[in-house]
Amino acid sequence: MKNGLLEINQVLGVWGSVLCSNRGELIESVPPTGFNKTTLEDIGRKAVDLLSSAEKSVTGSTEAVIHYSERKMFLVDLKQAILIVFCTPSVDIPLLRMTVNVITTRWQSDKKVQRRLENAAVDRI
Amino acid sequence: MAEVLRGNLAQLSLLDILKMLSAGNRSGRLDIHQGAKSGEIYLQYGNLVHAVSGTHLGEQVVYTLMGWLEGDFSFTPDVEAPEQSISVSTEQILLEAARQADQWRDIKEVLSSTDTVFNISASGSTNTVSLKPIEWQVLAQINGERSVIEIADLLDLHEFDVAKIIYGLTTAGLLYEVTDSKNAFREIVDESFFEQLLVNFTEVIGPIGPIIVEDEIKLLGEDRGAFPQSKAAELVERVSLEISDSAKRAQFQKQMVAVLRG
Repeated sequence: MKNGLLEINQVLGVWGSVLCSNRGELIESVPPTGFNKTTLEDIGRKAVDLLSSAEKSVTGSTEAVIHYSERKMFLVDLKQAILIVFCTPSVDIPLLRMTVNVITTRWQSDKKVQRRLENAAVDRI
Repeated sequence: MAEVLRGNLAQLSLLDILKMLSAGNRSGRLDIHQGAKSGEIYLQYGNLVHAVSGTHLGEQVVYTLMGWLEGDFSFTPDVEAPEQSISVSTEQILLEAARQADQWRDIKEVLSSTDTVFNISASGSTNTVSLKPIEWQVLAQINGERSVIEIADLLDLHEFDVAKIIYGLTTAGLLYEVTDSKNAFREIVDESFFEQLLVNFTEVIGPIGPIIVEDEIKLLGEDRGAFPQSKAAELVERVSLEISDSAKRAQFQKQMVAVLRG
């Protein structure tokens, strides 16, 4: 799982990536420097709320990009977990999205990863 | 659900399309695409009730979409709006849009597209210039590299508002257009990229592969002979969406991510 996050971090413009449960609890991370566990879990909870709202809306979104003046956050809903990628504004989003898709597809057939995700997940209402 | 109207904004402006749909009391969703960007406008019995583009909602989205001079549109009738984000009357919006369209015509005299890049003039203005806070914020982002659209994204402002400010600053002599900076310095992908893209894509999707790739290049407004590196991943992602089998799509993306990352 950590290797997958490290691969994501190799995309130009990515600072760090974090995998949180759908309650916002940290599962695995290769975070950007300066972010402690509490901050990451706080971000994780907010990401869960945002993606849940987007999913319930008509768009049925499973991803979101949040733009800040000096950074971007790319969020992906993996159902059992939320992937949060911290990036610079110039990151190539299509390249990042494809890299994430390659890795999450690989995770889908990795029983060890699936077990960790299932253990961390709670049923969504 | 039949799609009754489809075309290109270069041939029919968004203002004309909305006037037509409004006059016909049509209900449905108008989708607009420009490269990777998209927007939706919903009508109910000819009235504009909801507009969305990215994270933006409401009538300002309609004005922003009016600024897209190129792109594709399609109207799907009888699609209900998921919410109501437009509170002002359709007449008011169309009047304001017509006023902004006139302003766009002036703006386009100094700003050919929202991809244009400006820099701060060393000679400056011959007169005293006073700037509003928002004008100063835009001016502070101009560095000879950022395009109008990039500045709008960075400041979370609408393209039209940024274009209007840049137009004002340029006519005041504070800015000048950086001639074709993107084209002059943009990196072009190597022909070997296309060779690998076509081999990998055709292998998974069959002989229609090259036709899909050519179509997507055109939809991105580019030419295979001078295709920018900055859009290479977007092209790969777009063609990959034609692969319906998710495992095969991921495998294709894996091969192409390796190519893109050299």
